Amino acid sequence: MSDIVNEKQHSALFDAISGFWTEFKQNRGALYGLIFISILAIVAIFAPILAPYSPTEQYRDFLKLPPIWIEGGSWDYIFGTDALGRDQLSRMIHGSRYSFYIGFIVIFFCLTIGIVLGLVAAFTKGFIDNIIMRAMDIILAFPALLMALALVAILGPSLENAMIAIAVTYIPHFVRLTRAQALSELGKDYVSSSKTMGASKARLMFINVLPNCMAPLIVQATMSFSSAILDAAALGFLGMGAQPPTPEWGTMLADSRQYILSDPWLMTIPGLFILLTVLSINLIGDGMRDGLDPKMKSNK
Amino acid sequence: MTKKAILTINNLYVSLPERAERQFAVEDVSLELFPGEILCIVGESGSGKSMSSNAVMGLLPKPFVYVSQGEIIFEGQDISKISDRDMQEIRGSKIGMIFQEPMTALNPVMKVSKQLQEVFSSHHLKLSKAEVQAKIIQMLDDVGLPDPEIIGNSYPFELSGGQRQRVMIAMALALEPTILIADEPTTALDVTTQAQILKLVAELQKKRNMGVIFITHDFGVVAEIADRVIVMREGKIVEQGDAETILNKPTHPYTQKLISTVPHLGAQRKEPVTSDIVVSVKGLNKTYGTVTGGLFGKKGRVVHASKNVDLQIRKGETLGLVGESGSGKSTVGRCIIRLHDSDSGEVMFDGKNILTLSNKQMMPMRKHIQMIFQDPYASLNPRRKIGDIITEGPTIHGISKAESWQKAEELLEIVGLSKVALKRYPHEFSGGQRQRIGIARALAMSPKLLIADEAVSALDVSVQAQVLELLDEIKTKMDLAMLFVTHDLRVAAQVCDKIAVMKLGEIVEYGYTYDVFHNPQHDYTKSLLEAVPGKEWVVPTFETA
Amino acid sequence: MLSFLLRKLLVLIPTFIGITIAAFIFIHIIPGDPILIMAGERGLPAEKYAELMHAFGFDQPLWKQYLDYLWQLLQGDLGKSFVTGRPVVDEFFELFPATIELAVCALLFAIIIGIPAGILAAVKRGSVFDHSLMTLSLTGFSMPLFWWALLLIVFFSGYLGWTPVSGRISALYFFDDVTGFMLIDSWLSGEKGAFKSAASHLILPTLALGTIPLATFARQSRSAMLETLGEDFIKTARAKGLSPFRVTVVHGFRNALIPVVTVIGLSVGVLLGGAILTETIFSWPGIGKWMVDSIFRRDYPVVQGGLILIATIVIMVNLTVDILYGIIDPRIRKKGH
Repeated sequence: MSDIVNEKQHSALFDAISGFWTEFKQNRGALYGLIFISILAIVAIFAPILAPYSPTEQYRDFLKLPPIWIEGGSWDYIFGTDALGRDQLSRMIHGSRYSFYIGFIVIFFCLTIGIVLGLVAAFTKGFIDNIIMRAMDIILAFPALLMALALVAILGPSLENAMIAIAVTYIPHFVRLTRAQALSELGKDYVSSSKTMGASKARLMFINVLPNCMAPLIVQATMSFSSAILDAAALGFLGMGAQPPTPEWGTMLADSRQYILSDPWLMTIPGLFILLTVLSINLIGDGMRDGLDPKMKSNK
Repeated sequence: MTKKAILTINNLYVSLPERAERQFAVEDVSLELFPGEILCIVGESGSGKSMSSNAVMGLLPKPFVYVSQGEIIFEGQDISKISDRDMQEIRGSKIGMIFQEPMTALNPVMKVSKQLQEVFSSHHLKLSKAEVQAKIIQMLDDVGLPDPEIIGNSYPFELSGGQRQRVMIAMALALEPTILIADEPTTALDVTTQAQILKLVAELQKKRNMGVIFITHDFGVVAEIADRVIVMREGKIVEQGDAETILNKPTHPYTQKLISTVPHLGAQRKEPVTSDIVVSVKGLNKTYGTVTGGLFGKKGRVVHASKNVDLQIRKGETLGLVGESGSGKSTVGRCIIRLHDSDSGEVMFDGKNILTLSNKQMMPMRKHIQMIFQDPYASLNPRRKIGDIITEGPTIHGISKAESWQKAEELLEIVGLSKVALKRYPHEFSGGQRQRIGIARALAMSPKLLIADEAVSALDVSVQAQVLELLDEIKTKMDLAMLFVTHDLRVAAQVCDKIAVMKLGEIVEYGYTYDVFHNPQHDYTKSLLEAVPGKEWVVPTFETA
Repeated sequence: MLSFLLRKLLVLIPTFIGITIAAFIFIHIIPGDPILIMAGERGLPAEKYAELMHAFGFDQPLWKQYLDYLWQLLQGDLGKSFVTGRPVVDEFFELFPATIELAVCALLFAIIIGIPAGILAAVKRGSVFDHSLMTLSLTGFSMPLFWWALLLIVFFSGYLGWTPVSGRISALYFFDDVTGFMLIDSWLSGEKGAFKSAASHLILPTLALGTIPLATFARQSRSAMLETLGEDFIKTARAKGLSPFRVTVVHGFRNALIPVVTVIGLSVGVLLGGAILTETIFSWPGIGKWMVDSIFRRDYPVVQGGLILIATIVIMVNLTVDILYGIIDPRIRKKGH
């Protein structure tokens, strides 16, 4: 019989990862996004070392100093200072930590709760499925930002409560996605095969079905990571997120709002960094979609 | 008598994108098509047979795939080099084309008559609305559709597969083209529908003296309709000639190999198996209800997928369950293995009616009934290694990892794969190899009853033959009872001891294979056998193959 | 089709009840006593407190309060604002036209530019236009809305001085509300310059609110078109000898509509959420700003009633989208699932 598999040196997992990487690399934007996010991550990790000043210390002699590229700027304060004389650069550097903090916490809640509820719905069908999905419909009926705002108002304004509120508004998407994905996998014959072996529900759910649902979930999580940063910034902007003097970028924007016409750069820098961060993550998300699911490649 | 070719292809090359497996989809292909003949292009998947016809139609997915060399001469000009606009004029009016999937080849949101009417309106014909309407009705009538008005006013999803393919043919032939290209037009259809469509194509071809390029992978179909045959492999033509010669006296070893793998329709008389009965099914019923009751009392249709089905399989015996799609043959298999719940009836196995067992009581029985699935791509978990897939069953049943792994290695050897396969993922294997893995997985449970659900339908003929051989070998070696579910009568004739013919959930004929094939009793069995393409062709045997 | 519609409507009933419960629970898990919060710093005498507790029904058990609330709601009464003392429903419908006007303009802006651009990008896949549009739309999609709005103000109002910064119309003009839509009312009033003023006030909020949906529509219509253009029936249409335009628009776009309509439907929720930020920044007197103000003032009847009304609008939009599916796709209409 000639059907013998060729001997290859590396493992299958290596193949899978390198295959993913080849696809991912094809997407120039995704690569740039990854570079930006990597640098930002390093900045976030070493923030206390990298930041020239404390993010909260006020230098009363230098109020609203413009950044270096505008006339009147000083090398001492590269991004200038804000209305209270705090160093913008140091605040931006420390603020990067909050972006990751928000993103990770929100997608952690979304993935765990979303996957559990989604799988339960897919596997139970009938009554419990109905209850779960109706509950998700109800959450989705409220515009996300409005609901998050109302929730934070109830829980009390703080960054942590803002993250919980944002996670609540995202969970339905994860539940729906997991359920739809699981249902489509459940119809496939590899699951039937496990059933004929007598596999338990838990085994079917977690060992057979879940790993095959992960690709779109990871893409969704990436996209939610960036939306969470945007929504947290919006809540911060409305005064319902991180509270001053926390150097969270959205809150910084809100602080500088009254100076938009007199000192526009005060709000330009935090806004620009929010945009770049979110854009980079979305680019990575697009690249992952291509790499993880060749079928969805038409989007490229 | 020399006829003038209506289509000439000279040294055609079709380039593939850089990252593809090979450089050319079609390599150095030359052929001629004469009026009034049916030219069959046969080949296995990936042979470039569809690409050649797409090149003729100017339907290659440019700019990634394109004609890089050669010429396609039609009516005195090289149509591979003319402008898109000129090609647009030729498509549909002078060359018509029909496709494999009648389900997806028609626009789902447009009425049939509208889709037909477009053919006229887009070719600048000076016809009045009434004339076009009359033509549409005429065309639908020509392709044998009853009530053309009603059909014309329907959406594609309201028609059956055969009806849709007839609509496609009407559309392709509306402007009386001189060439019809048919790309596997009957592959997705049931055997009786296939016979009708083949007959229709042949009839229309004679009536209009068209040249037809008919692409297929099925030598039965070739035997049924071809005047001339071209055999392709990996983008190249390996052999061509008139049908008679290619089918009965092919010279190229590849053609010989392909033909030798076509199962014989004439079943041989086999010794009746008289060993112990392994499974006995009595009065099995299963219905699918579509929305019954509900708030608005919407009454759904109830479909009988299995109606009082009785059957028995003995040790070492293969029972073929044959029927067309929707006959309930797969449902019966899945009810026996309890993937579906049945409504009533009994399945006696090891002295117990397994339909009434609780899930817990069923567990020990599961070991003894195993299944092989149709789609080798969907039936293996893409995220798990072959080793994990094969040992999953034994592990669930409490056999130690080391022991089941040891056994998995042996099993892979039996199914003809190397044991290094255990550490690999399914996507690294071809369809045939995956099906072998599926068989190894089923065997890992040491079953007494094996249910093969269309286990070879998704495979190319040559691979199909190998897998069938393997199944037969295993059955004999392990003395298994096998339920072989298939739509393919040729395959059934070759492998089964007994045959049960199903229609709309009922077994209409049940007997020894030889008797069923040579002396069918039921009208339905007769019509099925009548419909098998190329039934008169006696597959030759070759020394070398 | 009728039973299809009725079934869809019936499914909405539990969702609607769920929405009222959710909004009700929201408000009643708030820590702190609403009466005390309302009274503010000065506090209240005990008998006045008890009177108010009774007047608002806070002395009743929670389930009874809910049923009373639901009963009144079914009669069109959502309670009165703590702050203004006016019925919530009246305030809502007074401010609603301003939000509708803004949302509709933003939606039209997004549809008219986004969808054709997406289709074009799909047809010219891989071209410079395609790449630029995809980069731009991903940027738009990643844009912090409030920052974008501020940038627009800085540029158009601050730097160029073309547009006003806030409000719906210049304070110079006085005329009666007829429809509640400023563009129409100012037109009807016949006052010179009124329409122009109303329009110039609307431009920036529309741009700000419409940009993100625009980016989403462009991306979605592109990918839906690409998907459809790969289908077999497109090949059939080409094999028939149809013109590329007919293949793309008649066969392609019609079939790509479902995902596009879906995303348009979903964007209504996004627009209402975005209206919160846009209206706050541009001092646009609509329900978004009204909700934010009420949340800050802890005007609970308004928050509760507003949430229910807005969510109801969202589910009605979803219903409309479902009906549109039926119109677009005969398979859904005739099988009615």
